[in-house]
Amino acid sequence: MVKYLRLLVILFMGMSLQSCRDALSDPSNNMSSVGKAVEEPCGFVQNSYGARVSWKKNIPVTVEVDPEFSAEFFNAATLAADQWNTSAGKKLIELEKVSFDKLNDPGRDQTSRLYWRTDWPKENSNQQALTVLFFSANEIREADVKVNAKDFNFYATAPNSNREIHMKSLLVHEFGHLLGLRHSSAWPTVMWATLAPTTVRETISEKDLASLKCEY
Amino acid sequence: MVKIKFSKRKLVFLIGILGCSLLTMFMFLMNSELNRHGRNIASEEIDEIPLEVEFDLTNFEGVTLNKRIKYRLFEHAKWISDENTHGLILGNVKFKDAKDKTVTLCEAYPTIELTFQAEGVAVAGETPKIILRTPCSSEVDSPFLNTITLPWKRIKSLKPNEKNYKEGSITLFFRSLDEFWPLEWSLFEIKLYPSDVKNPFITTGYDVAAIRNEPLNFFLLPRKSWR
Repeated sequence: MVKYLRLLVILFMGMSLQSCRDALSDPSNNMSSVGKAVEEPCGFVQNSYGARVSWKKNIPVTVEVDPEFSAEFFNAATLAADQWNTSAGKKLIELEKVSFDKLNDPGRDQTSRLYWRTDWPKENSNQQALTVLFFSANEIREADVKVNAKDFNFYATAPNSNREIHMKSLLVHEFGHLLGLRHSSAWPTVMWATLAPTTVRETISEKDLASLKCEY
Repeated sequence: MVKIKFSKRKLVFLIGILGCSLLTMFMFLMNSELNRHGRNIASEEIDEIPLEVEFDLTNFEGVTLNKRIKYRLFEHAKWISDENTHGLILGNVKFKDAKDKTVTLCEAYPTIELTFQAEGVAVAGETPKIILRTPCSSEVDSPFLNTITLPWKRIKSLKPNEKNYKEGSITLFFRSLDEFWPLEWSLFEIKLYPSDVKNPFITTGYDVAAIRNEPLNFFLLPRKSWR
């Protein structure tokens, strides 16, 4: 028995010495440890420490909607938000139609908004919409979603031409960005980077949901 | 008086448990002591304060050499700023190349590419980036590379959604920018290109954070003037 006890003690001492040796070795070995410290992206934006960026506990996110959104497009926006809420099994996004001063540039006012923009930079005329997040550390503080109403036409139920963009599909994608998600190269996902005219892509896929579950 | 009887087997078992508990406690205390000055990155990993790494790395090769080059690059890296220009000073090294010839960093890698990432902003799920490509230069046996300047005044005069800009030997590429210039930036990546441009030496912002215990950040305007 004493033999076994000695063996056990030697084994544990060996393990202790090994862990001390690792810690005291070449300092440049630390760099490999940072790789382990970086969080798994899970399809989310990451900050400069490699931590995932999201709204954390600050949900639901209240998004003020530009009054220039017509009733049918506001309804499409509500359905797009509900698509995420239902899939997540909790309320993540809440929309409010309010009037606000559009002369204020979007950004850094601590209010998240959905803008209907009839002015759009010529250089980016191929963008259907754009979502900008402002975050501090790993917490999103504000999100602004801008819809390019200058260069694109949209529809809610049936397109009038084969060049129109399905509003709900577009906003499901943008609300994914609003929640902190990046574009996905996996198919099928609503976070695929492009949306062709008249394409309906509004169902949150298993892959989208797996990403979402990492943070919400 | 109550006499407690232990069988030999039970006694050995109890001593074993006691020994294991003491060793676990010893390991925990030793680990805490070694990492007392460290900090968490992404709330998980603990780092030590790095020791200084020498300018002359001719005695090193392979993975160890690469790690030590990264240390030298960032160990004393710093930003110098005035109203119009920001400059980055990085460490220099000399080492033996594949032909066993002693070379400096810029002799081995004549082109340097720095990628800066905006802090606290994401556009369509991507953090805005400025990529600066410039020739690598240093004085003879200098422990630092010559200052790499970011012509901020000129950058500010451009539209944020410009894609490329060239000034002298500096080429700038802009990615994922919206209609405004983010004002806080961090060093995201450095690529050092050899003459044939194949197999660049790459080091990331996470390496910077590991070596310096924080990312290398700078502000393009005083903080109070932010919107």
